[in-house]
Amino acid sequence: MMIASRLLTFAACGLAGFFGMNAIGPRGAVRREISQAAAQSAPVGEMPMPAVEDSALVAEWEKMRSQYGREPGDLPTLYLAVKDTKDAFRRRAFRAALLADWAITDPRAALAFLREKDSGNVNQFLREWLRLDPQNAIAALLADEKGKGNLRSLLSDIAKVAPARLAEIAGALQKSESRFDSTARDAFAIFAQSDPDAARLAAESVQGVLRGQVLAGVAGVWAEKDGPAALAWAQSLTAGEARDEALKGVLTGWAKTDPAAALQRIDLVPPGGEENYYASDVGAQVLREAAKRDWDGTMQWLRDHPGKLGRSSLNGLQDVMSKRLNSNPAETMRSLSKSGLPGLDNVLANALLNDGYAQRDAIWQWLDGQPPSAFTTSARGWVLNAVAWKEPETAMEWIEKIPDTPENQSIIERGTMSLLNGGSQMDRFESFFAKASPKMRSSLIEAAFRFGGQGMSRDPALWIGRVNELPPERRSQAISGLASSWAAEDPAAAIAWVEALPSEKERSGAFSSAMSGWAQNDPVAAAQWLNTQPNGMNRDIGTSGLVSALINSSPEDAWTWAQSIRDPSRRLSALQLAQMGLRSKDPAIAKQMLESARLTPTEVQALTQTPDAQSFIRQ
Amino acid sequence: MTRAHFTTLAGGALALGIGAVAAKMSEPAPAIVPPLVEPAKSAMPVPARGRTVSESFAAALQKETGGKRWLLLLAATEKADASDMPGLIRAVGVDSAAVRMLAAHWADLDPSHMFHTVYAELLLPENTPGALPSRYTLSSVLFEQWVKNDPAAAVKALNDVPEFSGRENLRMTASNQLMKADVETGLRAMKDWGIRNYSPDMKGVAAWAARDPQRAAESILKNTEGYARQAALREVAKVWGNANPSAAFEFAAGLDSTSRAQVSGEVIRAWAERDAAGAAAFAATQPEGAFRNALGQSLVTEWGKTDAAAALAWSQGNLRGSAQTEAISGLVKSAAEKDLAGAAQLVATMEPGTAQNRASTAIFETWFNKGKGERAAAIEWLAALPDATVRKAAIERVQWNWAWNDPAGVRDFISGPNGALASHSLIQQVARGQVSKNPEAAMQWATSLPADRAAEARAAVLENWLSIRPEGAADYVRKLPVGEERSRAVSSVSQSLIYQSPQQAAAWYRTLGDAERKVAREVFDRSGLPEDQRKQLEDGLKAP
Repeated sequence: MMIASRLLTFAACGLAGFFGMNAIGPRGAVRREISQAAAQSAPVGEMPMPAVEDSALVAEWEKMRSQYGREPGDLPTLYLAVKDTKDAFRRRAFRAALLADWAITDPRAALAFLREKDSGNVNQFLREWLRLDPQNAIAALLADEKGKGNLRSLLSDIAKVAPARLAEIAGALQKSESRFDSTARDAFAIFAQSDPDAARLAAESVQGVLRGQVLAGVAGVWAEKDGPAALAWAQSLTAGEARDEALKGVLTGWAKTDPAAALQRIDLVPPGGEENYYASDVGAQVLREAAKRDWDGTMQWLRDHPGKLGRSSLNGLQDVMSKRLNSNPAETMRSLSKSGLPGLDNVLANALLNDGYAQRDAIWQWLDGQPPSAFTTSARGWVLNAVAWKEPETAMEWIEKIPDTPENQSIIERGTMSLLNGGSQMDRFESFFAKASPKMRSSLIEAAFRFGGQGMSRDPALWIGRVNELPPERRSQAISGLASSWAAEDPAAAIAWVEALPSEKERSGAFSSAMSGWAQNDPVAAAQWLNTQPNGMNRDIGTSGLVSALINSSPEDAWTWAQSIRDPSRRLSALQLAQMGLRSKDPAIAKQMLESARLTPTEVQALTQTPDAQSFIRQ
Repeated sequence: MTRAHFTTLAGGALALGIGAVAAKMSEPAPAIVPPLVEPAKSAMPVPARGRTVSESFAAALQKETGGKRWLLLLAATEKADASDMPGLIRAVGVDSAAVRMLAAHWADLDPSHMFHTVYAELLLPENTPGALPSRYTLSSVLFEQWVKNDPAAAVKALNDVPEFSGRENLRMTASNQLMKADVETGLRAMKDWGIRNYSPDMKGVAAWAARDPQRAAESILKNTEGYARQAALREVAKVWGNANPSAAFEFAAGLDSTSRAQVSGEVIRAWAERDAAGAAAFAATQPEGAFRNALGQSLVTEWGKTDAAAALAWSQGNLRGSAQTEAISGLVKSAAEKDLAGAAQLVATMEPGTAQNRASTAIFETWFNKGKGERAAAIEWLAALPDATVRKAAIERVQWNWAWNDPAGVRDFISGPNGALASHSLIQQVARGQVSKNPEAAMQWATSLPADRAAEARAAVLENWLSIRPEGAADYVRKLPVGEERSRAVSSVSQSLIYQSPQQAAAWYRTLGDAERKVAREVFDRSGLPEDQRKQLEDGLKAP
């Protein structure tokens, strides 16, 4: 007995230990979820079911209802009165209550009224109707095109209240005008979460433009749970775009739970990106999910499979990279510097322009602590590029702090160029220039001349002064840039300035640019002026500029003008340009003109070897 | 304590421990590991959590239909304080109407509390279990209400909030609301927050400017930059140009040349709208050519709507250089929007040359943009123009929007009878779109094009194929017949691979014949690889 009671006691203690442990805290993933949800602090008490009859606000609403009448015919007037309520909370609450009641009393009249008077609230009303009477609501909406338009935005609601109707609706909808539309896929994903088999059967029955989307919705959810089975199912579908979308769904879903398995199968399906839609191909989507789940593993896979996915697929990593930068900038930068994946610099650049921007100071600080390398130079360039776009004054301060050494010259110049953002920020040049230190002034001036702009021709004297600020060895390009812009507006003044330049080398380059700028804008006047010039080097230089301006618009004229050049080397260069223009327009005419021209054998040989314009562009 | 008692107690304790260990061991392995990226830490005090909704109330909110559900919510909200609002919002879930309603009340009750809560939520990864739904709706409603009730407090909160990835969006949301409530405060906030590449609601600017246009212009010039500055100045200049153009020009004379041109252009546009002849007479008497040019463009664009021929004659007589060309293009565009045939006739009377070319481009652009039904006719008209540069330039004016909105239409155009009009960049754009879907199919499309554009299209497809699936692109090139196209393709692949990975470039090199190795080698030598990667490449090239 004693032994039996002891055994019973031990058993009771064992059970107590087992269940007690379970009672102490939730298990595994559940515990983790709760700890995250309780990131703030534990809740304090509960809100009980409110007593509607004690509410002053409800009483206010009832009073309003009584004032405007309670019959269905009174609701439009009441609705308009509610719409005029100034207090946003009351307006929203009363409108919601009214729409919900209207959905009971006369939904078709409500829909007609809202479509005419307040289309912005049609969907709110339809959600109420769907909660109450999904079958009739769906039938009413399927009856006309406007209704079908509403149905598209309500697909996720329908997936919850009437999933059995989803296939019929998806089959009736046309492709959305928005390329970002994924409502059908999202709705079938919701359906598949609650009833995978029914969702799969429903998706398989859908024909039409949304078939791919609905199959992908089911495939993604299924693959998260059972990748191999989902893959086998998708592969068994009839080949075509819809199957490819399903396969894309499988791989993207699978990557959420088993990144390596999904990445390993990336070649099973064509990229399937949406045209002109950033990071939408399957490589980008799988990388996004894979990196979210296992960053290091994904980096390793990319290293192990160079060339499998290209730069545009790597863009899928941008969101995760931004999050990692926000979570731990130093560690993320260290990981990138060691990754050995050159394509990631572009992803970093985009992350810095978006959500990763908040960490610019920390990243810059981290870069300051690193020995110089190709990675730190590139990363500094991207950080400066982002800061220059968002906070140019800050970028200027940072550039000022970079020691003015030959090794840093490229970073300083790149940062300065970023301030003007490829010329799109030229209107801000003056404000930057006013604040620039001597170190930055030269780079800014050079960048400005590279991008040009109307400002130069508006105030040439000012820009001549800026040219003179540059060290002599860096002036040629600036002089040519000014000559070209100025001559487009005022050729006589520009040419007078060019002719007065002291250096012959600068003079000849600028003269050619001035003629080109003038001829691009007014080729007839430019040609007439050239005809009045005496033979000699000046005329030859000017003619070269005219030829370069004419090669696209009038290559025949360019060819004729090129032949009038006397200096052999300039003549050959001009003839080559004109030949390229002619070949681009009509290779037969180009050949004929080449054969009929009076050229030296050396010129003919050189011109025969001139590449055509397209291969020139490609090179 | 007897020995028996001790044995029982010790045994019981042991059994308790074994049970606990068994319970621990019976925990299933976590099925789904939470995201590996830790959320950023809040740098502001996180408000204490309020009450949750009781089970019965939550069930009623789910179950009830019609107005009763909303009245329940209304009654509960009435009795709730700010700390209860997250609980109510979690209870309604993803219901945008309910969330907006609750958010409006929360923002009225205690916007600071709401702001701190939303800030803490924005630091959590989306879809974190237990996180508030509709966080962006909440911030939008918060600032809509807060700015109306207490703009200074809203601005202060956004000045004080620590830097985090969602801060810029919150500030843009707030500045949009500020611009509706108080333009000057809105503009100042945008300046202080460094918001430049965003154009907020400008509806209030005109009314603000009407009260004192000079003060408005000064405030804009002092406080704004970027798009907002341009848009706001345009509004002010419009108002001022209608009320008192002389005063506006006098003010503009004191500005830098860019701002002066911008303000004066808008002023004369407004003036020309009601008195084109008066505005033209004023512009014509300006002695400074650059200023006259700046005025001329806006003047004739407006004038072109009512008397295109007079505007054209004025431009030809009073403007010069590229300003004249651009002005004529602008006026023809305005005229074509009203009367396409009349504008085309006017352009036909112009002297051949740059101005006529730009004007023809403007006619095409306006015609093409009239809608899908007009495109074929516009393209036929364009194809008949004699100057190839005009034809290409005209297509370039419309191609970006066209390819974005109607990629299939552009594809048909390139393969159609007028496809030779397509520029290199348009073919590139279409190739990029198609390759991102299916490179093999894109290559088939390129090959099926007429000979004059097929080679260019194939090159574009290959270039984009390399950016999405380099390995597949390289396989394709290896199967090409020997010849010039293959040689160019080898060069493209080598160029792409050398920047992806030296080892891969070397592996590719080893698959090539001698002649093609020479092509690849030239590309590698030109690549300017860093020292360490150059060594990897050389080692790879030597490998058997």
